Amino acid sequence: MNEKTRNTLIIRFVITLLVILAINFFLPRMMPGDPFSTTSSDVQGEDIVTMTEEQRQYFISYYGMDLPLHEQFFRYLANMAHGDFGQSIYYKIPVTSVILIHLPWTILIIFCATALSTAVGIILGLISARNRKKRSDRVMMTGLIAFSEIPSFLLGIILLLIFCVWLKLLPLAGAVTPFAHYAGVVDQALDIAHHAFLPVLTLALAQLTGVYLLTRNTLITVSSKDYIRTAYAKGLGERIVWTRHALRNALLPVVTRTGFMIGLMMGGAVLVETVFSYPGIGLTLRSAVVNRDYALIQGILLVTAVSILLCNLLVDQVYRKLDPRVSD
Amino acid sequence: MKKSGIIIIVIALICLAVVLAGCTSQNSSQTTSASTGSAATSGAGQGATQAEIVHLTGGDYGYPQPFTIYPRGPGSSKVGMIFDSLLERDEKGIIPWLAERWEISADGKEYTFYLRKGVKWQDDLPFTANDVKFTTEYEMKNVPVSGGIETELIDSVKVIDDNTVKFILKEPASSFLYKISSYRIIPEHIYRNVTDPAKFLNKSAVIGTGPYKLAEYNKEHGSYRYVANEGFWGPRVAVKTVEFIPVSNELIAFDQGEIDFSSVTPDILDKYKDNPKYRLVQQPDFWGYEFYFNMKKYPELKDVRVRQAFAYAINRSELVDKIQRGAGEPGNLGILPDNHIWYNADQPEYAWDLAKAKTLLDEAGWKDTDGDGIRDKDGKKLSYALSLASTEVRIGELIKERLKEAGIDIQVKALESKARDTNLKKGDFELLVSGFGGWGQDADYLRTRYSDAKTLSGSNTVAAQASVIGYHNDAFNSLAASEVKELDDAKRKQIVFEMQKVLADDIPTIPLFYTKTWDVWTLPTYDGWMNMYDHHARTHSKLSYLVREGIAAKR
Amino acid sequence: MVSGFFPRYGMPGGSFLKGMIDTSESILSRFSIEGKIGLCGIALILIVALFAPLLSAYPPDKITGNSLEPPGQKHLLGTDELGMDIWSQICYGARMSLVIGLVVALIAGIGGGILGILAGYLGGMADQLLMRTVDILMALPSFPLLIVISAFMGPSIVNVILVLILFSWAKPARIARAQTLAMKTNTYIIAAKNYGGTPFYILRQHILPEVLPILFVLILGITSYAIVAESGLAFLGLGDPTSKSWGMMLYYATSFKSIYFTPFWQWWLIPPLVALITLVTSLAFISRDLEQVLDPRLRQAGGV
Repeated sequence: MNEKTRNTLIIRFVITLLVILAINFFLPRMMPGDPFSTTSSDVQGEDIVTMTEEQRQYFISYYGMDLPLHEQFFRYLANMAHGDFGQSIYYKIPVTSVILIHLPWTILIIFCATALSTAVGIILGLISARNRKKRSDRVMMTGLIAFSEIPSFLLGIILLLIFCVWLKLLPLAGAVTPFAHYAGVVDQALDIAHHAFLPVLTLALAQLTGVYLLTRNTLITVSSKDYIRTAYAKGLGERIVWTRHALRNALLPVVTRTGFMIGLMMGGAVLVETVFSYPGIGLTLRSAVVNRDYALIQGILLVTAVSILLCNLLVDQVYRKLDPRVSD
Repeated sequence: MKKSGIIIIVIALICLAVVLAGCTSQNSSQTTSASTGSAATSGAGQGATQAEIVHLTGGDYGYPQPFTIYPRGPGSSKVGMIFDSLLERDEKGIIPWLAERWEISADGKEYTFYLRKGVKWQDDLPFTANDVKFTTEYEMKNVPVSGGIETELIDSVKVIDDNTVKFILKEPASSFLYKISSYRIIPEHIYRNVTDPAKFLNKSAVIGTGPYKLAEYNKEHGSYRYVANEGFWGPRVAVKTVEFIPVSNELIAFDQGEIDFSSVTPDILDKYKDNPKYRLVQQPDFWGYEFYFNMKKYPELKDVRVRQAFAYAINRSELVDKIQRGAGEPGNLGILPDNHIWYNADQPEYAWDLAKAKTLLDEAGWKDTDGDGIRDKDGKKLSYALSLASTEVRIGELIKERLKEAGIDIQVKALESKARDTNLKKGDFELLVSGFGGWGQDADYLRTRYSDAKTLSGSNTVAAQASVIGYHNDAFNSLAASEVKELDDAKRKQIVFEMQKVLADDIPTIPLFYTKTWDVWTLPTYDGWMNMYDHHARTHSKLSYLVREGIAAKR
Repeated sequence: MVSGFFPRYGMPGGSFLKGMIDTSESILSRFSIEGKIGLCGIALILIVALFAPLLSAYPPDKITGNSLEPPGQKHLLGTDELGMDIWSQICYGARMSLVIGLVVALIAGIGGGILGILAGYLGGMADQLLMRTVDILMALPSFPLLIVISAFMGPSIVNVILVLILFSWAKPARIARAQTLAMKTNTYIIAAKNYGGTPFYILRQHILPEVLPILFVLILGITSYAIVAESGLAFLGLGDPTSKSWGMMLYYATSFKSIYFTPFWQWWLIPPLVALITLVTSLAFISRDLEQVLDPRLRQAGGV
């Protein structure tokens, strides 16, 4: 890649980022209501604080929301440039702290789920492709396609009922045992794994079929290619041909796909976090929206957008290498 | 390997079927509206009066000091475990707490509180009248999230001596003592150096005079651990440790023994009824839904007959049966719920009566002239959009069905809850439903909600006001004006009784129903749960965790 | 869900066009058993949706029975907590869910496709503009933003559809553009240009036949994405609560507090669940078969 294309890429990235920053700023503020004029409970029996007009005005000026909107926007941009995301209105701590508290959990389950679904998907795809045209391939494919269509939140509820309510094998909620004092790192890791198991499983199951189908289909296409025939002709065993030659070539699209999945996983994570009361960023965003916590909404959207942007950029590069025909 | 995936799926599905079938076969009874009336109790005898540890439903509600809790949920009760007020509330009324006694001047503007001696902050420094004065003045500059007092009401606070403090009000406010009872006092020696208490999150921020110390708080997971304050000045602490832990489904967590207190839905009461291990009690009906008319925008709604017709046509008992599965109480048109200490039972009931609704509308001149099933008058149809939050659509659907029978057309308009709140505040709606708590609070709220006369106290609350919905009633306004000045409780109660009667005849709004959720707790763990007279949640009461002796003795 | 994979398509051939205009009979004959089952499933749901008023004894939004009646003579699948007939809700819900899915998919698929082809063909500013917009849309976390937008626009079915379209058109646009770009450099298109083929002619004769089959498969994918996404939004309480879509039925059933402790789930939760899964599974089977029928090489696209 020469310097010119690199520069255009960077400019493009910056423009995208600026538009996203603007969307993040204005969209939340266009929602009806403000963070301080709640008069009704969200759920039955919930206590809420109803403020007097004086109290409301106090908080509006405390958070600088009495300034003209464009001034707030430039202030926000300037603060962003310093890495200051502002103070969460609802949580009363800096937005960066809120994100740092919750984002790792989301990343944890997304990362594990991606790894799990990719690994299992590839293995199943390989098995299926090798048994192509046999009944087992067909049954597996049909089963997995049907299975993958169950919406993830329903799958989550079903798993929750089986493993937590009926078998009582796994904890019902949360990411760690409350007030636990661990004997060591291993102990702690086990506890976290114990809690993350179902959210990860749910997310992974939702992604599994995509990886599986992609692997299977790519493998089948690759297997008809000349170099595979050549490999056979060279007298290499079937196992070696499949794993060394076919699989290696089939892996690239799978890896590419995984990169693109991050955005969708973020979406799935919101639902799964809701089902398992997992303290991830999705659940936090939901409450930020309900409570009109502008600073926090901005922060979360920005962090997720930037990570997706980076992922896409990365995948784009890989993809460009794969197919030189698509360039602009 | 290749088949195992499918096998696992099949097994999982079979498991699911078995689980679900198993769950339900145990309790397949259907309880419907059998539970109205007074709070029923079950469970054999007395449970544990003291406990080492009690586990309750957690969730993050903020760092438990007045400036950093969240405005939604039980945050302020978590502050109340650590910080004390001058007065406290038990199941009957207001009781002395940090103040041993108090005096009110004849004009109702001066309140003198005589503070308890020997009270210490949890860091062993003495509590004095200066702390009270400091709290008031500090909170004029730094508004707490909750537990504050309307500063516009207070003229000044004077320290008479170390143990005497005097509040001077700008005008009399009959509910001032009630307000003081949830007004948390903060330590001067700590907070005086804090410029922005909303960012004050270290250990010394949660030093109060109260029965508990915060031992652990985890924002990330929403867990709190409170331990008894050894040096607490008041009654003995009955529960040594209180832990709030996160749960995804309260009932399942209760079933598995993770928590010791839960609310239950009416459909599964049998599981806990007549079981010696549990006590099952209904909450008082202090949380409810209100139905608003926008009389300002739609003058035809100013006709009391039309509003009465709505009250007769909406089947409030059906709402309780179907939406609450019986765990509720149809709304009283006098506004105050049945369990309110000043509820006046002598008021028209407005039970569902379609014929009466039709007659009233006929009398008001609303007739269906074009045969489309919707009444009209002078070319205007009796047809409105009913705004409510998405979670309340089921209520809207029932109301729509019933009003249709009376010839009133309703379009249910679901809004996001905050959008609905904004519309209510701005008066930008036709009809509207909103759900909120606090129906058990001091009856002064009748005045702030339905009088459109300007006064200092509560005059500017963000909640819908009579002036916003265009309601005006001279008789009610004058009752309200005397209520706010009346310092004699017995006389004030009489006025409040009158106010309820006026409201029940005039119907400014329709309280649809109040919720009466069932609470269940395990007797062997702890049985000391009580309700404050004004609030539905037992776990929010400080006295629930204390031995009922001395000033906290049962009355 | 729609896979994010950006497939490499092979060289064009005449079979695309043929595949498109093949009689439905010959397409059917090339369907696998699953594909046929899928077609039956869709047909069944379509019939239910079309003849909902005839198939159900009650209107779906009328209280016609007691609360939570178990299935019986009067109510085929029982009633919900308000006393509304569940079978009627399933019938009318089929309409709602299909409409949501199809409207979103058609507008997003065709609209996005046209934009993509135009951008790819015209190049220059139009292309730049489209690609930057797509970049931004792809970078925005769709589901979290759906939450914000739903709160902003309010819970109505039109808004839900608009929001879903907003997040669905980028992919068809991108793929159509890439396909068009790849073809533009093909010798036979260049030849057609040199022989004086108008842009319209080239688009119609060479590019559309190439892109349409892919779009068609994508549209099927978006349909099921939209249906599932709507039910997800509904589950978070962000759907249109006055609509009787299957997603909304699921929301009401799952938000009934003691649903798992009582027998109600059997007739309240299971029917919309089964209906929803049948619909999306059928769509998945059909789109998989269509991929293979329309072009065997498309198999490598994988995903839905």
